[in-house]
Amino acid sequence: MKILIAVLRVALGAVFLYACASKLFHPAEFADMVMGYRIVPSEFLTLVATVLPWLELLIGLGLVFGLLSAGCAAWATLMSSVFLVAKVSVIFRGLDVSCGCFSVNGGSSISWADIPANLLLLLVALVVWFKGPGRPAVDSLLFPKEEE
Amino acid sequence: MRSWQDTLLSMAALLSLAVSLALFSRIFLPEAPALLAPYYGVVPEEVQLVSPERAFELYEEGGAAFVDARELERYEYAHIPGALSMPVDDFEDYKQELIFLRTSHLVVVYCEDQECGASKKLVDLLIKNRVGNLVLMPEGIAGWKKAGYPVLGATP
Repeated sequence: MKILIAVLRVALGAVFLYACASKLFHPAEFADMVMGYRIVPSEFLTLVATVLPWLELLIGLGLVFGLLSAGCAAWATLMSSVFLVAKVSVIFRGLDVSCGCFSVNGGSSISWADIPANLLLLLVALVVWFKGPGRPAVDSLLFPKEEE
Repeated sequence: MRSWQDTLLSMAALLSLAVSLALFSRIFLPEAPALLAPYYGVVPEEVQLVSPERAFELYEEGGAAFVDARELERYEYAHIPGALSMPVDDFEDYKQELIFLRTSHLVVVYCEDQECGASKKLVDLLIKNRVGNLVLMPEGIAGWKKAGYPVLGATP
């Protein structure tokens, strides 16, 4: 069971690492994508578009190596929930917006077809958060008693 | 799952580190937009941003063409008097308007409000189609109405 959780954790981390790759050094283009959702006020767009990819990077690394995994899984759960609500809100408002999830170069518009993958991401994040990092994980080496 | 305190503490540590890295990364990104200034999209350098007040001065002076980048339904609901409707998603259907804009002294583009991206997209398309002398009013029709300037449509 612990190995299965570890596999899920690493897969979730890989998704976050892949998601941040194209955004880290393109804050303006990512801000354009975020602007399309019409949720974040223009005053905070650059701040969000600058910090979010770095947070995704840290979450991805933390989950892949199993370091600070509780915090990383909690952030992954929170971010997946926010992304899910944002996408559903875009669909209901009839906005023609590209996801911007894994690329800053546009892509197809958000539709109901995007929701199952987001739900799966949220589910995996919840499992990793509540079940712990599994093994092997750096957390298990650093805090062996807490994991037993 | 560890205690809530541990989880919140590690979440705070991750956020702090992410903010630090993000700020540090800006050293290598001199072209990045200002961190705490309002962001209206990547606007080409030759396009000037104007406030509703400045746009109203241009409106009163005459000679400037106003272009509404929103959907036709939104335009019919409320628009700046005399403004052309040019929905950015149906840009290809507005060839006649394009010819007119190429001969205009000044073109003021707007959409709904600060968060809408239609006016910026339209500016990009107009530049690609050889329309010059463009200015963008980021506050859009919402800022125009808020300033008490006249509107036409179903809800004047």
